[in-house]
Amino acid sequence: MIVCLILAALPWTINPFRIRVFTLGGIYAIATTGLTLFMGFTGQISIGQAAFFGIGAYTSAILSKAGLPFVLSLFASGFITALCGVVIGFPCLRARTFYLAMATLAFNLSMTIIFKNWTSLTGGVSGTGGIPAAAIGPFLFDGIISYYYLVWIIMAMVLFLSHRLTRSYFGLALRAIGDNETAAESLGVKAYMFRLISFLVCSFLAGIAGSLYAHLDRVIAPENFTAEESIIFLSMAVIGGLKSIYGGLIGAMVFTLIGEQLRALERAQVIVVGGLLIFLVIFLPRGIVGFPEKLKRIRMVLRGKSSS
Amino acid sequence: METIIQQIVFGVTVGATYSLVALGFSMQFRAMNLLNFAHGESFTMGAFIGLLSHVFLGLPLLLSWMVTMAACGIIGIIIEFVAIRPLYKAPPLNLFICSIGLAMILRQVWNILSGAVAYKFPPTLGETPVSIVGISIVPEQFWVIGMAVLLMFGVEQFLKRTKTGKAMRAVAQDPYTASLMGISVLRMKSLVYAVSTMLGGAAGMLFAPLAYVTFDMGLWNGIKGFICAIFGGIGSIPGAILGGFVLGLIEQFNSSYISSLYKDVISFSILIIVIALRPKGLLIRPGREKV
Repeated sequence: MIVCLILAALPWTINPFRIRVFTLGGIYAIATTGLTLFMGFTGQISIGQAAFFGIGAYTSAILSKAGLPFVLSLFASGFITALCGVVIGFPCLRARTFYLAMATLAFNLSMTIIFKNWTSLTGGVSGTGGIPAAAIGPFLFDGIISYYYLVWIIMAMVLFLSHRLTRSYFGLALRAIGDNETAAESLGVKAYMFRLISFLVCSFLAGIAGSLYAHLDRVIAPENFTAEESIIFLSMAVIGGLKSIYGGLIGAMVFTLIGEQLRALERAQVIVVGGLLIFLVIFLPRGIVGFPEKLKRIRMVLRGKSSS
Repeated sequence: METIIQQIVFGVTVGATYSLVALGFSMQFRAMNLLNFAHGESFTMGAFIGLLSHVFLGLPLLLSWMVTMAACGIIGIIIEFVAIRPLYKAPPLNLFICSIGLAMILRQVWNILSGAVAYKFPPTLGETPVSIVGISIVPEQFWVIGMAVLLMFGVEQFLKRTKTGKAMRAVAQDPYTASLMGISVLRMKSLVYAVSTMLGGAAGMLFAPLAYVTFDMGLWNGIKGFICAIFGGIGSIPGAILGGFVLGLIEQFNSSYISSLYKDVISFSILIIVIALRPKGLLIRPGREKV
């Protein structure tokens, strides 16, 4: 609740450039929430989120430029990306963990090559520009503040739906698969099917986020959707914490804000982020979401020592 | 006919470097239960240290090879100690994510040190093609293939004959029993990491004259090394070597007969198909894991 109020009040307190950063954080948070739903609950790894993000962005750019209204192109990019997710997931999800990670990475590297070379569709290396501003009916979201609200309202909806999803039968089944797949299958949970559906949800959210990204700067280029970006999505999800749906949001915001603070370091920024990733995996394997729990445990250990 | 043979030779040349990378992957997977995302960076490491010692410091070739191998080994041991060792008891997934962090760091280090410039590495045996029974072959290719085969043979003998090599294999098979036999499991793991980093480095240094040395060469060659490792079933050393040559040949014929622009797309599609058909590699029979 408090977080919502702070987020709603933000645009009046900080300058427009900062608002763009927060908007971007919201967009990343949508895609990362998708990744958290997939990775956290099924215990798998995907290094292909940026490719789906890119498919969503390009779909939205092409459809919007063809004159389709924003809402339609938003949903269209979500659905088309989800379709791609199923097509890719169908063979890849037969493999698990590392194998899946490398397969999705290979998919991402391939997509980057395709984005760069399919010039008639994507505009090639220089990308595609002149994407019209987002508009819902008479409302035109051409300013950064209005767009900020749009993104965060969608983010809130995504978070709400994901919350419902994890509480449903579907979410429970996913968690069972993540904990012990063979045991879950013996109880009649079709693991492969559930993994495929969760991959579909994951790519759907990436597509929505990609569409919002295309309308943010109204220009996109292949370099926004490389394998490195996928690794960044993965880092966001892991840093935030995979076991909670809020992990994606927290990870994306922390990551985007830290990235912004470290702009002065330029390329060394990635080194800090990589270091953070290693540090967190070693000392806080459950991500930032798991921090309060860890703190509680440390306190208990300390208290136990002092009393004995 | 001549062109086909030339292409086979070139494919085998590139494949030999992939094999070395794949060999490192497999060794780490077997002995440490680690799928090392940062393994491709050891490839870049070898190329850069080789470049530094051979071109910028002007050391003779043999000496610069020794320097590169020693440096790769030492850096490997340091990396293992700092980042990998604390995670042996953690789930393998965490180890994998940790190696992603490592890869990010190493890549940026090369990026900053090199200033994102592509360097040319001088060939060892020369680049003017010589004609052997009507087939023109670049001498450099002999050097790459010869060195790679020598290294693979060396590693194989090392694992089979020496006491350390046997200890490594024991650790790979059953770390607990190995520790009861008085083998220091931790030391062996760190040694495996060092040896595989050296292999990756050697592959990088061999590959360097065939293309330019850039900071991001590792990602591509790393994933290709992984493709090769998975061809043969990850963890299988002969499989890794075979996979390297197969991928090198496929790539070469792809780029000359189908499309050089999309050659990597095709290699990656092959990976996805292999994974779909045999999720754990071609030579390993699929089995059910125990609860």
